[in-house]
Amino acid sequence: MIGRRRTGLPIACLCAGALVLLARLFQVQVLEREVWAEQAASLVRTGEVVPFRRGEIRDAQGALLARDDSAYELVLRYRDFRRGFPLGQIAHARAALEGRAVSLDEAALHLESWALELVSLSPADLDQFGRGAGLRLGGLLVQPTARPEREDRRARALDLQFYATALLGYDTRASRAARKLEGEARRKSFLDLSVQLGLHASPERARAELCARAATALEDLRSLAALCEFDSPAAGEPNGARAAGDADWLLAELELARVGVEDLAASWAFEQATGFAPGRLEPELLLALDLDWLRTALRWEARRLESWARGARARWRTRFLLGRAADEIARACAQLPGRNQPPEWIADHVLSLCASVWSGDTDLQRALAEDPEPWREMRHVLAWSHLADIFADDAERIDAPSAHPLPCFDPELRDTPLDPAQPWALLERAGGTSAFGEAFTRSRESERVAGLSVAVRALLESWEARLQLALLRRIEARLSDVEPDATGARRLVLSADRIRRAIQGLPYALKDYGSRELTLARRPAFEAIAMVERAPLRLRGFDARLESRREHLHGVDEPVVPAWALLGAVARALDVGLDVLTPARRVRLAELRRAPERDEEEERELAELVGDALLSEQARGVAGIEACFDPWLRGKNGYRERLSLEDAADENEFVHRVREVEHGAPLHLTLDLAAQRAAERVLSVPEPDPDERFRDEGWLGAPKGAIVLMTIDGAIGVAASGPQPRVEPSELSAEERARCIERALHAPGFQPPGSVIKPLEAAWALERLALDRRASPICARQADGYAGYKGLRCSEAGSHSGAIDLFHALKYSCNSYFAWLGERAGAQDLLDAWSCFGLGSATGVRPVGAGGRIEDVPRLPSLASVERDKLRAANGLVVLQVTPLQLARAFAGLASGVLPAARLVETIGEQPAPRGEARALPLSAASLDSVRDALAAVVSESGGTGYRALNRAEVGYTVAAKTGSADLQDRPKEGDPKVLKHGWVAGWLPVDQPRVVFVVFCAETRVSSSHSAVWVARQLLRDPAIVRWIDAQIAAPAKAVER
Amino acid sequence: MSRSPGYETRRRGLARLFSTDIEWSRFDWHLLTLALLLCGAGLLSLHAMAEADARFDRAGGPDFEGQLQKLALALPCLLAGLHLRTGWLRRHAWWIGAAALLLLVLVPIIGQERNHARRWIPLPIGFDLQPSELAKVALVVVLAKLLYRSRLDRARDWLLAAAAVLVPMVLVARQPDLGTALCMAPIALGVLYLAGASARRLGLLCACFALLALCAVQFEWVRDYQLQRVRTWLGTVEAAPLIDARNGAAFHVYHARVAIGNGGWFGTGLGRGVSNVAGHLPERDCDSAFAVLAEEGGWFGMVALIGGYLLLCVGLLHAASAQRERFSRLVVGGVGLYFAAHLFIHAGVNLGLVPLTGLPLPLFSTGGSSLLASFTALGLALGTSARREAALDEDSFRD
Repeated sequence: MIGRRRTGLPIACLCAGALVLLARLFQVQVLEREVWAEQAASLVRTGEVVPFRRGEIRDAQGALLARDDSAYELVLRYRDFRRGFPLGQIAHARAALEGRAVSLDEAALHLESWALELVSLSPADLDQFGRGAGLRLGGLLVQPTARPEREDRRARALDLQFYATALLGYDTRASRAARKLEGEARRKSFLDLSVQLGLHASPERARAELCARAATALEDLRSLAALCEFDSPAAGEPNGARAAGDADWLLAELELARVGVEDLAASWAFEQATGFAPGRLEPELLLALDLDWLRTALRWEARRLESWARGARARWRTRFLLGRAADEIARACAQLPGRNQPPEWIADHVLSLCASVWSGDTDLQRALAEDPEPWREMRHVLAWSHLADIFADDAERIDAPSAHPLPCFDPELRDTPLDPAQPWALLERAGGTSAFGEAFTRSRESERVAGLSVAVRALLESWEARLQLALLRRIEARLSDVEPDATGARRLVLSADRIRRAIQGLPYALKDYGSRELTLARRPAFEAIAMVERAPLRLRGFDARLESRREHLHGVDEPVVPAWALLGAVARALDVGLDVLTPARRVRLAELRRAPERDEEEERELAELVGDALLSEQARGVAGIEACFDPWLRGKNGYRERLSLEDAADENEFVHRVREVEHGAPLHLTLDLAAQRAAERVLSVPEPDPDERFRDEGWLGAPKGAIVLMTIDGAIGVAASGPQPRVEPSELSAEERARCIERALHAPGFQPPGSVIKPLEAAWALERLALDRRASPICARQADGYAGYKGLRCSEAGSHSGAIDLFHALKYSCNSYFAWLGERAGAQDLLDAWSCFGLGSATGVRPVGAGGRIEDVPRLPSLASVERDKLRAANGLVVLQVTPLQLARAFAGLASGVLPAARLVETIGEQPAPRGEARALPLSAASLDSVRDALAAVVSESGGTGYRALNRAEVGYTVAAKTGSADLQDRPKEGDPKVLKHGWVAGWLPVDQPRVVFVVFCAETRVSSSHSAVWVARQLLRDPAIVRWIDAQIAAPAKAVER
Repeated sequence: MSRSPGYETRRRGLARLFSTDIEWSRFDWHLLTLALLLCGAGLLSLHAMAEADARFDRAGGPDFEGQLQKLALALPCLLAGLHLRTGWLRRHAWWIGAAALLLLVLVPIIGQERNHARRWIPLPIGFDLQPSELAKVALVVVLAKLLYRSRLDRARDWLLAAAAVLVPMVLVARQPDLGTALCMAPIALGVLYLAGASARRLGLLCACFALLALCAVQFEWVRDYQLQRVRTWLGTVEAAPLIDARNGAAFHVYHARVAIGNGGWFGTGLGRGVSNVAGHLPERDCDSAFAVLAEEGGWFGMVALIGGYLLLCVGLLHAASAQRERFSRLVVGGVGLYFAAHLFIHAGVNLGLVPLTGLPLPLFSTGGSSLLASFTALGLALGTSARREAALDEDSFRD
């Protein structure tokens, strides 16, 4: 047909084009479907975590000790404040006008006048301003510019229009109408236009209303400040103006919030442009880069930019490098010995962990969760490696020199093999110190962590200093070739693409960070909440949020919670840094949340992961009972999904419940609150020995020790420690915190039991070594005037001497007898005796499935160390360490013949708490009775070491007990009159039917237990609250100790 | 029997413009049906959008009733185009072109500015006319007139054709509406080819255009936001960078791609795509209508849509090839190219094959002016095609 040949090619092109479209559709819709479906799902579906409530903790009588308490917090969303509150609007409008940051303080001083000036502008004025024209407004003159894009004029004009219309209360209709105005109409001021659009009756009325709004805004801020108690850490750093009712303080907090938002956005933009966080460069190096684009976009002055640079660096160093990174690396390192690898492997591993700090945050997290990338293979250092790529042109490209910034790049070091003979040499060559090796040789993990924290920080600091020096040299070398700019400064210019990308995203970053909530005040007055909730439009940006916080309760007259150290503490998952989920599980959780469709298996997996995960603000036990029983207290979050549409017509239609919330289980402790308080009072004001000659006034002025009261079957009624803090623990200094620690279940320092261990050895010897109880070694007078045995001093001359049998040895606490016994028994027997009574083992207070560590478990000494000093070892000196709770448990076993499992928690929810197993002692009743009789004589017969304080007439009970003093020094230090020692008394009551075991421990005193611990024990056993508790235990039906 | 040209001067009034002497047996009913089906599909999609908005209580979205009203205004234009005498069209092509240019010139004077672009002339009937849409149709008519006698043998022919194309292009580009302006280019190139221009010369012209475009980007001759669109496009053809840039300049492209990708083989169903449910996709009733349908119809649905449009365009080109009379051939072919250009640019934008620009999909998207222009063009093409006017020009005698 005619002309067909001319349509052939176009038709062919159409068909080809159609094929291209279909092929591209295939690529996107079929090959990439999963990617886009996931994105689509995230747009539509919003997952909502339903947070759990942490379980309550109550004492044995049901008194509430800890609970999650919901309380209101006053929060600020800075973006809403900026856009909707007159002070924010005017400050930011003025900033847009002048092209500089205008503080809220400054704006508050000129609020009315600036507001009137702003609304006197017209759309035409702003159009011209946006194109670079000058502007005169009141006393302000904005100069014209030939390069409006350099001053970001268009964006500023749009901002000004926004703020002007927002101030005048333009709604959507009015705003749209204003945008459509043409010609002369655009020359009318926004104020006049508001009248024209019917928003105000007249210009005068509009002005009056505007002035009233401005005045009301400041008044509202004053009122809000007056209603809030700003006594908690709030939005920013503490500042000097803080005081309840201080509007200046509130303004300062708002300004800090603004600075915080801008700083975060600036850091984000910098990282977009360069690939690394700004804190990784010293401020001087950071400012050697051309950051005018950032300054202009944020309307900062040079000083503000410097302040951001310094702040970013300080935060990165203190919070990340020497804070979180150092702590987590130290913690990870402390667990390395548990992997049974040789020390040289550990040193190598430590280097890899430290090196990961400079390869990236994600790498550090992965290194901590799994194994780190070997430092010898490290190729990339943040900031250092980026310098080659981020600048405008090749002329500014900074080539990497041959010298490398970090030791882990040193080829010589990399080629150094691991040397078993010098395991720590590699670490020391890389900049570490001998502290690493020393820390790793410590047996206790807590001490290891403490030592490693210091060593890791030192290493990280030294590497960081080297890196910064190397960066400085590189940048300085390049700067010398750079032409100075108009201001005479030499700076390196980032590539335009990178800057453009950063600037494009900056408004979104500001929006994002500005939309986050910042806490201004916790538990403000009810009127403050009411004010904010009743007038949300007037107080835009302020909101009240119901927050759940963990509260440990104490009485009106009590400064702190009883057993606060034992109860422990919680911390937000965010603050703790690590979540219960491993990084791999967290990634999987994110994947499942995003998945457009999930099968049943995946739904179950999602439910499980959500249940295990914590929200960043949720609490997790980090110490004491809160940590130990965290798996039960914690609960599991619920999860539901809904369409992400606020105005969904029927909410229920769009909610899909993936998992119901499970609240934490309540704990009922065995502790008796009243008895606990009484014991703590005893420890804080202990009674002295009536004989003034035997008082340690120093100790009495600052008593330190512990008291344990436990039933014979292991239920701990009292676990008191002294000293107790006199203020809220959060207000304690680090030094005070280190003193006010939990001591009933711990051995914070060297804690030998002294003579209190003798009954245990005696029982063992009677049973297993066929000790003749009538055997009577000689406690002979020594050359130094003291009685003793082969150089081991016994008691002071006069208390006893000569031949002494077991009964009297226990009654008078004869060191010579037990030195003799130890010599005969042998080191292994001593160890077996101690082990038989549960020393060197956990007491059972931490059940199976528990988290955290709640007690110390000092290990039994080695055979060699016991062998080396059997005489003293048998007297509970030098080598053995115990905690008060271990001793209480041992004496419970001695009293009943069954070693109980100690417990702090009676029930979890409705169920009995999991318990350890009690075990019968492999000792006959005859052996045990012999020892029991002797211990009864200690307090009931004259001459017994506990007689004066603990006889029946004094305490009202028949008590069997043993005292013990354990010297901590060989001889007194210069200036001290006596040797420092621990004083102990442990026993049970009533003698015939033991129901209660007690241990009193006086730490670091200068008098023996007969002059310290026994008097504290007397004071304890006479306290009414303690008596009530003891009587209740005695009256309760006897419980067979469960085995 | 065909009438002598002089006969027309004796007609009066509307009879001079319109005639009813369409050969209905030769009428391309299938093309009309196809076009109406596409329009119907567009209405269905729009209705689903409006329902989704109502369901989620969203205001300010697609206006179904409004579109029906605009359709009611546009259908008479279809009929008018159908019955418009080809001869009258040919004789008054310059006037038509001039009228289109006049409207374009009036836009900066009396036009309405929205989002920093002045493209619309408000009409008293509550309808904003976008002259650039009509200018595209007028371009076809003007080019047909220009090339009706010309064989593009001389440079003067080329210059005249270039002027006819560039003048409206420049006026539209200055609104600014670069997308619509550039849409005229493939139409013009196609019509030139149909008119006899050598493929090699046209190829050279295309290369010049490409070079010009490259220079415009490199030396930033275009506006900031236009440059940004080009850069965004270059950086977001692949999925990963597009997802990274989703909260920045690539917001619109991202949501379009999500909608398309979410469709899979068979689509999510009418009204149930994320673009309708979440409502994030901008201009989903107009510039992003393709993405919405891709999500809800799936790949197979898009095969049907593209197939339908392809058939329409090919049908018009085929109908053009059957025209003995050169002017008619160029008009019908030009209209086919008009629809084709819109399809490829609109789909290409949504698929990330070309930089973002706002161009409706004719017959499918909302937009009164687009409907008006599309139906007018369709009517012209179908009516011209059905008339088969006698001609004495050279082409009529070619084998």
